[in-house]
Amino acid sequence: MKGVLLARIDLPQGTLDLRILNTVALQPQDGWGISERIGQVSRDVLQIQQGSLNPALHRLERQGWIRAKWDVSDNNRRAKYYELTSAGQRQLEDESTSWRALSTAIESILDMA
Amino acid sequence: MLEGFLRRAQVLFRRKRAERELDAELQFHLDRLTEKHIGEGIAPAEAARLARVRLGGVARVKEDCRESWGFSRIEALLGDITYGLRKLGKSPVFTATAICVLALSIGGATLFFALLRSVVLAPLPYSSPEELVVLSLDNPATSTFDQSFTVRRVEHTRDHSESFSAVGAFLKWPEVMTVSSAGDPEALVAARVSWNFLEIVGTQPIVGRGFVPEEDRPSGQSAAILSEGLWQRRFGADPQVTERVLLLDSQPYTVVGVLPEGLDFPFPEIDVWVTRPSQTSQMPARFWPFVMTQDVVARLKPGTTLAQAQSEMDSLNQSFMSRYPKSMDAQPGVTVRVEPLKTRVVGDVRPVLWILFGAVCVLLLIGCTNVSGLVLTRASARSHEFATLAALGAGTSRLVSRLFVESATVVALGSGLAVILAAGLIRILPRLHMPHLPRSDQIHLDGGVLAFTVGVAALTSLVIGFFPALEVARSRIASLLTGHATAANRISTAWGRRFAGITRQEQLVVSQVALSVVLMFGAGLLVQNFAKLQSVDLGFNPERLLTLKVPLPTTSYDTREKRSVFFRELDRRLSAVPGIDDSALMRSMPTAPALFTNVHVLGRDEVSEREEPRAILQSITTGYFATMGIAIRRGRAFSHPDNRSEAPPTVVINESFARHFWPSYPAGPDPVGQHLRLAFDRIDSAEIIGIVEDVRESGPAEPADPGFYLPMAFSPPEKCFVALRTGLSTQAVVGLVTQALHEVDPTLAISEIKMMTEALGDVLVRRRLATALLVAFASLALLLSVVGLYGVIAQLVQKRTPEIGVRIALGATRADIASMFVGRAVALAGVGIVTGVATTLALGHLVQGFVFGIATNNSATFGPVVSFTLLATMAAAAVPTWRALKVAPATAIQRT
Repeated sequence: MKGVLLARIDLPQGTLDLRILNTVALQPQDGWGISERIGQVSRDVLQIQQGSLNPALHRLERQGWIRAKWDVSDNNRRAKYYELTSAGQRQLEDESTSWRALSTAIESILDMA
Repeated sequence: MLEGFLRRAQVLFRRKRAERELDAELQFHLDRLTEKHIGEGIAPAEAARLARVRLGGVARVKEDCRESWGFSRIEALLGDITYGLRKLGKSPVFTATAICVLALSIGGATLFFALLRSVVLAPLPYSSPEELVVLSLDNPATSTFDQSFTVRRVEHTRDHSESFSAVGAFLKWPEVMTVSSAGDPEALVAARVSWNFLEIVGTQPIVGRGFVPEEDRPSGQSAAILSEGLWQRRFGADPQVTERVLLLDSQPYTVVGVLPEGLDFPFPEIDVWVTRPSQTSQMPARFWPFVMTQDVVARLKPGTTLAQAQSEMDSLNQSFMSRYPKSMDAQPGVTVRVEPLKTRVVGDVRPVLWILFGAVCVLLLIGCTNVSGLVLTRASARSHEFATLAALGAGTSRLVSRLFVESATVVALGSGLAVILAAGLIRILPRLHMPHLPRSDQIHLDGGVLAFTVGVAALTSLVIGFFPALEVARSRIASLLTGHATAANRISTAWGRRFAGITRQEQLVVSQVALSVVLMFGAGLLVQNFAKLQSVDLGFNPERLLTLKVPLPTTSYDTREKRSVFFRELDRRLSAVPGIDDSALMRSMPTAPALFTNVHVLGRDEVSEREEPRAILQSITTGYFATMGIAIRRGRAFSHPDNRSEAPPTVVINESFARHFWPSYPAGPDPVGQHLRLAFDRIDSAEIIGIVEDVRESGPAEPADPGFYLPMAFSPPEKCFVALRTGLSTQAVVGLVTQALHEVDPTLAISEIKMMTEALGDVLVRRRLATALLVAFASLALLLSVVGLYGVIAQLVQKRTPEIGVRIALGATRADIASMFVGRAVALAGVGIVTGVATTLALGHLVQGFVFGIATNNSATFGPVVSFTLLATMAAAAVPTWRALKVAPATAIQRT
C-alpha cells in the first residue's frame, strides 16, 4: 500500500519505478543494463540518477514486484539479474493505466492553455 | 503485512550474505560503467572515478539500499532490546523488584478479570440465555422484596401473558427426599419444577426424555429425572434406568430421564428433579395452594424486550390483584419485577467482585507508579550514560524509545510471570471453600483474559516509560538550549525541593500513598464490619454444636400424630446416647430459612388474616433451650408434660416478639400469662409461659426477628433438624445418630451434617474472603508506597550527603538534619493522605451497599489508617537518614 501511495504522490519516483518495471518486463536485466536501457529508451532526455537506481531496485524487490537471481553475464561475470514477478506485472498494469490517465490529464490541460 | 515481515526476517538472518551480494552487485555495476567510459576513450583511472561519481557514492547507495530492506528499524529495536536486557541484567535488584511488583499487580488484575469474566460477564450455559427471565414480587410499602408467587398467580401469569414463549415455576427452595429403593437409604437434594422447565432452559436429557404435562397434574404418574452424578453413583450409568421405579420419601416415582452435569438449574448440585412445584414437604398439603413458594422462570419471545415484558406484567398484576384480592400475594402495593435470570444467579456476588476488581486495579496503578518511580530513579542515576549516548549522536527520540523498550521488556517479563501466577491461583481456586461464589468451577484463563492481560501490559509499559522519557526529553532539550543547563537545572530543582515544588518521583510517591490510603480505608471498613459480625451475639452458643437433618417421607408420616410419636421416640433415644451431652429436635436450623406464620394476641382487635403480624415459628423438643444455650429471660422453658398433644397448648416467645407486641417491654404489662392464637397449627389459644433471649435465626448479618416456640407435639414439622452438643467427632456422631434413627425407623436417612461454627462460617465466608483479600491488597499497596517513599528519600539523602557534611561541620545537630528529611517524607505522605481521604469520601457511596451498618466516613477507620501510614512513612524515611548521619562530615564533603 505504502509503495503504491508513494508511487502516486511522488511523481519522479513513480516514474522511475514504472520505467524499471517496464524495462525488466521485456527480459531479466542487471542493474547496469536497466540504467542503460532506460537511458536509450528516453533518448537520454531523462538522465537517470544512478544513485537512486540501486535503492529503487532493492525497494521494488522488497515489495515483491521484481525478484533477483544471480546469473552469468555476457562477459562471463556473475551478475544479479532482476525479473518481473506476477505481482509486479499487475502493478505495472495498474501503474501504467493511472500514469496514462495522469499524462492524458496533463496533456489536456496543456492543450487548453 | 506478514509477508513483508517474513521477508524482513529473512533479510535479517541472511544479513551477511545480503551484504556480500550488495557489494558484488554494485561492483559489477561500477565495472560496467567504467568499461563504458573506457570505451568512450577515457583513461582508466579517470573512468573509474567518473563511474563512482555517476553511481552516487558507494557508501551512500549501500546505506540507501539497506534502508529499503527495512532492516534498520528492526535492527534498532533488537539492539534496544538486547541493550535493555543487558542493562537490566546489570542491576538485578532493580529488575527483580520491578518484575515482582508487576507480576503481583498484573497477576492480580488478570485473576480478577478472569473471575469477573467467568462468574459475572459470561452468559449462562443455557440456550439463548439472554431470553431467560425470572419474575419476583416486591412490596415497597412493607419493605419486602424478592417474594415468590402463589400457584394462582403463576397460573394467571402463564395463561394471560403474551411476552413469553413459555412460563414455568419451581419451588423456591431445594427439598430433601429420601430414596429407599436400589440400595441404602440416602437423602437426595431434589428440585420441584414445572414440567416445562427443560423446554424453558433449552437443555436435552442425555438419557430418556423430559417431563410431559400429565406429570404435572395430580392424576398423572409421578416422574423423576436424575442427575448424571446420581445416575452413575446409584445406578452404575445403566441406560435402562428410564424404566425403573424409584421410592422417594416412600412414594413411587418413575425415572424418565437423566440430565447432564452442570445444568445447575434451578439450584446447583441437584440430585433429582420432580414435578408439581407447589407440593413442598415443608408444610401440610392444605397450605400448598395459598402460600408464596413459586419462583417463576420464563423465556421471552424472540424480539420481546425486558421493558415490554415488564409493562405487560404490570398490567397483568393489576388484573390479578382485582380478580384475587384475597390472595396472599395480592397485598396492596405489590409490584412484579422482571429481571434476567443471570442477574438472579450472580446478583449477590456482583458488587463484591466489582469492588475487589476495582481494588485490584488500584493496586495495579500503584504498582505501575511504583515501577515508574524506580525507572525514573534509575534514569536520573544514568544521566551520564544518556549524555554519552547523546554525544555519540543518539537523538532524543532514540533515547526515549530506548527507555520505552527497556520498560516494555520489564513489563513483558512481569506479565509472563503474572499469567503463570494467575493460572496457578485459578487452579487452586476450586479447592478453597467458596459456597457463595456461583460458577466458580468455570473460572479459567482464555483468549479474552489473555487479551486483557496484554492490553494491561501495554498500558503499563506506556505509563512506566512515560515519566522517565519525559524527564530525559526535557533535560535534553534544556541542555541543548543553554550551555549552563546542567548547573541551572541543579539550582532550580534544588530550589524546588526546598520549597513547595515536588519532583516527579515525589509526585509518584504521593499518588501511591493516596491510592494506598483509599485501599486501606476500604479494607479497614470491611475488617471492622467483619469483626462486628463475628462478635454479634447470636443468642445461642455455636461451640461444639452439631446439626443434622432428618427428612420425613410425607406418605408414611402423613399425620401429625405419627410425626409426633416419631419425634418423641427419636428425642428419647438420642438423649440416651453416650457421648452426646445435650440434644434436641427443631423445625428449622438457625442460619437456614425459617417459617414465618400469622399470630394474634387474644384480646386485641381482630384484623383480617392477611394483615395479621407474622413471626418465626420454631417447634422444639424440651431440651432445646438447654442444648442451644439460649437464656430464659422470664417465666420458664417447656417441660416434658408440655410436649404432649393432650396438654394445654403453651408457647415461649423471644424478646423481639415481646417488644413487638408489648412495646414497653421489659417494663409494663407482662406478656407471660397472655394467650396467642396461632393459625398455622390451628391453635386457638396458647399460653405464653416464658420469654427467651433473641436468636439470630438468619445468621449474624441479619437482625433477630420476632419469634415464638411451640412444643413439637403441637407443631410437628415434615422434617426436623437435630442439634447436638458433643465432644465426639462428626463421624462418630453420624454413626450413633444413624443407629438411633434406624432403631425408630430403618427407612430413614440423615443429611446436611454440619458443625454450627461451619454453618455460620458459610454465611460469613464471602465477607471473610472479600475482607481477607482487601486487607492483603491494602497491605501490599502500603508496602509498595513505603518502598517508593524509601527510594525517594534515599535518593534525596544521597544527593545531599555533601550538604549534610557541610551542615554538620557548620554546627547543625543530627536532629536538625534528620528532621529535614523525615519532615519531607511526612509532608509528602501528608499530601498523599489528604488526597486519599478526599478520594475515599468521594467514592464512599460506592462501598456503602456492601459494608452495611457502618458509615463510610467512619472515624474509627480513619484514625488507624492515617496514623499507620504516617508511622510507616517515618520508618521509611528514618532508615536512609540514619545511614547518612553515620557518615563522617569530612568523608561526606569529599564526595562532592
